[in-house]
Amino acid sequence: MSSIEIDPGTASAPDQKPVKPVPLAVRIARDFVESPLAVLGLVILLCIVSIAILATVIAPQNPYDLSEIRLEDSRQPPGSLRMTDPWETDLILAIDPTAEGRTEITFPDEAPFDGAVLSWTPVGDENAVVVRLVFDPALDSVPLEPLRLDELPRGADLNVGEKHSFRSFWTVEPADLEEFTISSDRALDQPFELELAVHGTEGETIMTYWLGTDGQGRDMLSAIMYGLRTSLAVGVVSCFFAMVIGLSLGMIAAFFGGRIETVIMRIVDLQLSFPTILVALMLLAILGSGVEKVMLALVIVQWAYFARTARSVALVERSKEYVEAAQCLALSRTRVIFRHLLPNCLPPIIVVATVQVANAIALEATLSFLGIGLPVTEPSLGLLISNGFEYMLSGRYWISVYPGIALLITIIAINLVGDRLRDILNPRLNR
Amino acid sequence: MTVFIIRRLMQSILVILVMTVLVFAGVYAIGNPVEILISQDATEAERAAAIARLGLDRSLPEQYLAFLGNLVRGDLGTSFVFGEPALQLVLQRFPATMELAICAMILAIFIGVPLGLYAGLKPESIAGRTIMTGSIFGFSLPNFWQGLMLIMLFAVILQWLPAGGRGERGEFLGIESSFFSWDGISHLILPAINLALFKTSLVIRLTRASVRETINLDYVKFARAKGLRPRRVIGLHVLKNIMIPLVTIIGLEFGSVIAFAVVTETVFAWPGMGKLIIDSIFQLDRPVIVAYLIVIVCLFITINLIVDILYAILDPRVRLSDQKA
Repeated sequence: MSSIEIDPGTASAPDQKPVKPVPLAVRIARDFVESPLAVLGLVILLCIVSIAILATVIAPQNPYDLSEIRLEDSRQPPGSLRMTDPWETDLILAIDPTAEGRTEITFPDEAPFDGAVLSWTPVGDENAVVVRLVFDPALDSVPLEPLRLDELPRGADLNVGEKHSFRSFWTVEPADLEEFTISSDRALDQPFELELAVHGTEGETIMTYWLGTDGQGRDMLSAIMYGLRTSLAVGVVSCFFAMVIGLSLGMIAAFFGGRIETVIMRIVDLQLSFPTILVALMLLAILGSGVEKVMLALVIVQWAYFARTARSVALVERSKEYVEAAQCLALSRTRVIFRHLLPNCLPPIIVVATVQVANAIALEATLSFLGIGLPVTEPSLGLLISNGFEYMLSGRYWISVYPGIALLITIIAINLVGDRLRDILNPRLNR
Repeated sequence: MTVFIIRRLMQSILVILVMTVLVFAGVYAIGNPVEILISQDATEAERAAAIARLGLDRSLPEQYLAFLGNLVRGDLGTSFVFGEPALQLVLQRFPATMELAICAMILAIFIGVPLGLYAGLKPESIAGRTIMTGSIFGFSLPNFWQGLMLIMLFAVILQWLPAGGRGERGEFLGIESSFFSWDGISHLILPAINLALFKTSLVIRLTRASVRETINLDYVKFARAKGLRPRRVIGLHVLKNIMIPLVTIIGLEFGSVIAFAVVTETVFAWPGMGKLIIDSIFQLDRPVIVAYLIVIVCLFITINLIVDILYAILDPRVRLSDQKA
C-alpha cells in the first residue's frame, strides 16, 4: 500500500535488518490505543451497540407489548418498584362459645404467614367469650391495611377496636387480636363464624423501574434500550446508503472529470450551502413522515459530504503511479476504480462516515423531537425525549432526561472515536 | 466590482429558480396538488371549481409558469387553518424569528470571541482547556436537548425565567420588539441562549484557531518587541486581523441560525416562522408550507449573496479569482 512509509532512521542504517512493514490495520490499532479517551469512547460505543442489538433480550420488559405495561405505574420516579397485587384473605373464625376450643388455621404457600392459632374460652355465665388469635410470624411483621372483623353475632360487642359508624364491621389493631372479649346482651349459645379481612398493603417486588416510567407506565430503561436500537439502526443504515451514493458519485466525478464533475459538484455545493436541518425539514414537509422517508431524507442530506470527500481524495489518488500502472495493464475502468482507487480512498471516507453516523443520529432525534420524524410505533430516542417534554414542566424530569443522556453518550462516544480516527488516518498529520 | 455583483446576482436568481422548480416538483408532481391545495372538507363542486381556478387541469410546464407568476405577485394560496394569505402569514412571523436570530448571534459573538481569545492566548491553561472541552459539548449535544436542559434548570428548578412564549412587546421609536420590555427580554433570554450555544462553540473554535495562527506572525512579535502593552497588542493588532474570517463565518452562519430557529422555536413555543412551519406540517396546511419554503430559500440565498459581496469588498483576492474563472 502506497501510504506505508519506512521510518527514515532504520532505512538509512544498512547494517540493520530491514524492518518488516507492519500491516496497516495493526498500525491503526496501535495508534488508536495510544489515546485513552478514544479507547474509552470505543468501549462505551461497543457497550451501546451491544445493548442496542440485544435490546429484546436484556430489556427488563418489552415496552411496546401492551400486556406488560400497567397504567397504574405511569409516571413513577426512578427507583420505584413494580409490585404484584397485594396479598389478601378473608379468614373465617369459627367459634363455639359454649365450650373452650382451639383450631389451627393454615394458609396457602404464597401468604406471608405460616399459620395461626385460634383459641377461645367462655367466661362463666356472662354471655361473653375470650378469643385469642396468634399468628406465626406475628401479625405486625407484615404491612397491613386496618384489620376488619365482621359477622359478629347479633347484639355482640367487642372490648377492643372501633365499630364502623353505620356498617357492621369493627376495625381492630393487630395487637388487639391476641386476646379480646366478645360480650353480648343476649345469650351466646350458638356457634358463630367471624370474618377477619386481612389485606396486605403491598405485594412482592417484580422489578425495579431504575429510570422511572413514562406517561403510559412503560419502564424507561427498556424504552431507552429499544429507542437506542431504532436510533442506531436509522443512523447507520441511512449513513451506509449515503456513503455508497456519495462515494460512487464522488469517484465518478474525480475519475471522469469534465461536465459530469461540474454537474455533480455544483449540486454538492448547492446542497452544502443549506444547513442539514433545513434540507431535511424541506424534504419531510413535502414527503410526509415515516421511517423510510426519514431515512431517505437523511441519505439525501448526507451524500454530499461523502461525495465531496471522495472526490478530493480520489483526485489525489488518481494521479499516483499505481493507478497509471493499473491502466497500463489495460484493466477495465470499473476494475481500476473499484479495485485500485477505491480501497485507497477509504480511510478518509471512514472518518467522514463515523462523524456522519453521529450527525445522522442527532438529526433524526431532532426531527423526531419536532414530530416529523419516526412514527410513534417505532419510537427513537428523540421521540422519547419529545414525549417526556410535556411532563418536564411539572417536574417529572426522568421521562425526558434519561433518553437524552443516552443520546448524548452515544453521540459523544462516536465523536471521540471519530476524532481519533481522523488523527490517525489523516495523511497530513501522519508522522 | 459591479461585474462581480452582477454575476453573483445572476447566480442567485438561477439558484432561486432551481429551488422553485424543486419545490414545485415536490408539491405538484410528487404529491397530489388537489389534495395539497384544496381543503379536505371541500365539496365536489368546490373541488372542481378550485381545480379550474388553480389551473390543475393544465400541463405541468404551464402550471409551473402559472406558479411562478403567482409567486412574483406574492400569491401563494390561502392557509386552510387561518384563512389568511399564506405568504402574509409567514411574513408576519418573520420579525419574531429575526429577533431571536439577531439576539442569538449577538450572544454568540460577545461570549464566543472573548472566550476564544483567552483559549487561544493560553491554550495550555486549565481555563483554556475547559473552554475547549465546553465547546465540544456545545457542538455535539443536540440543540433541542440543550433547550430542554435550559428549561429544566432555569424555568422548572430555579424558576427564574419563563419556559416559553414570547411575552409582552415594548414599543420604541415606532418599532415593536421584545427588546423593549422587561417581560419580553425575560422570555427572550432562554431561547436566545439555546440558539446561540452551537454558534458560540463555533466562534470560540474559530477565534482560538485564528489567534494561535496570528500570535506567531512577525508583526505581532514586532509589536511586542516595540514594547507595546500586551492589551494593546491583542486588542488592536491581533483582534483586527482575526476579524476578517470571523465576520465572514458569522455572516454565513446567520442563515443557519434562522434554520435552526425551527428547533428552538418549537422547544420554547416561540411564535416565529419555524413554529409556524412545524404546526403547518402537523395540520397539513400546505399553502403555508410552500410559502415558508420559498421565503426561507430566498432569505438564504440573499444572505449568501450579501456575505459574498461583503467578503469581496473586504478581500480583493476573492473577486479577482472569481473574475478569472
